[in-house]
Amino acid sequence: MHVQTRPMTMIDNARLGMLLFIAAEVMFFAGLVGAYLVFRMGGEIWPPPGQPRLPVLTTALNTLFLLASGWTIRLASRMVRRQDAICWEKATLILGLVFLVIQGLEWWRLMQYGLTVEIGPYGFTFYVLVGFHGLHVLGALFWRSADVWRTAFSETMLYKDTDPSRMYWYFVVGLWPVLYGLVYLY
Amino acid sequence: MRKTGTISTVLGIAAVLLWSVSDVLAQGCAMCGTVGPTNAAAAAFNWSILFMVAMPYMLFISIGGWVVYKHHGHKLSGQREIASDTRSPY
Repeated sequence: MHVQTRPMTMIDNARLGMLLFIAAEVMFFAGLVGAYLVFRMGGEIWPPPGQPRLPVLTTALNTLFLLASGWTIRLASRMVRRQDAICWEKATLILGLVFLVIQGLEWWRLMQYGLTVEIGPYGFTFYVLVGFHGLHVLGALFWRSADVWRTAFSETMLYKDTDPSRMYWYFVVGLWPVLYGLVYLY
Repeated sequence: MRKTGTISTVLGIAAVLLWSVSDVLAQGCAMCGTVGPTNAAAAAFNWSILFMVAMPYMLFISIGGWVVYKHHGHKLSGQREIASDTRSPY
């Protein structure tokens, strides 16, 4: 029986699907940022008096960890030997985990200083924006870990099969500097 | 004759209604009618709306640009594959 092969397309379905998903995610965060801008620009004094300031320097260092994870995942994709690539992938996952742990510690400290969701738009917008990003990083971490695990123990799996989770990682890494600039520096 | 009369009546009613519409009803949303143009809240809303309107266009341009870039890359890599006939195991 003759089976006709599927013609090669410009972009494969998994990547296209991921691209559309990321587009939806961008719009989701655009909505949150839009709400943040209303509170931020509409408020006379920001941060409101008597409320804790955000840890700009610690988060800047933490940003470097996340950006470094974007660099290591890029390096992993350029490796020829599977073991080298997995090494860089592990470094990526560790950097992502470090980012999340530091974020968690920061949140704990801010809560100790009285920054909670209930205090008003300042606390609410901070926790919603940064919290949703943190959840996305956590999701990306689980997904990428599963893909690395599968790649490490499968001889037939190709690196390009893990492209969607890599694209998602790039998304969470690329989004963070924008959020950091808006929430911590602006 | 009757049809012309009906049209004239409808147009007449429409003109009266349009004339009597208050300024409040003419506003697009509650905020536009209640805040002045120099109000900080109005400016914040305007910038927020502008940002959210711009995002789909930004996305479209980014994704379109990426697809075009990949299309050209795909053409080139296809030529390379034919030339070398090799494939990385990873």
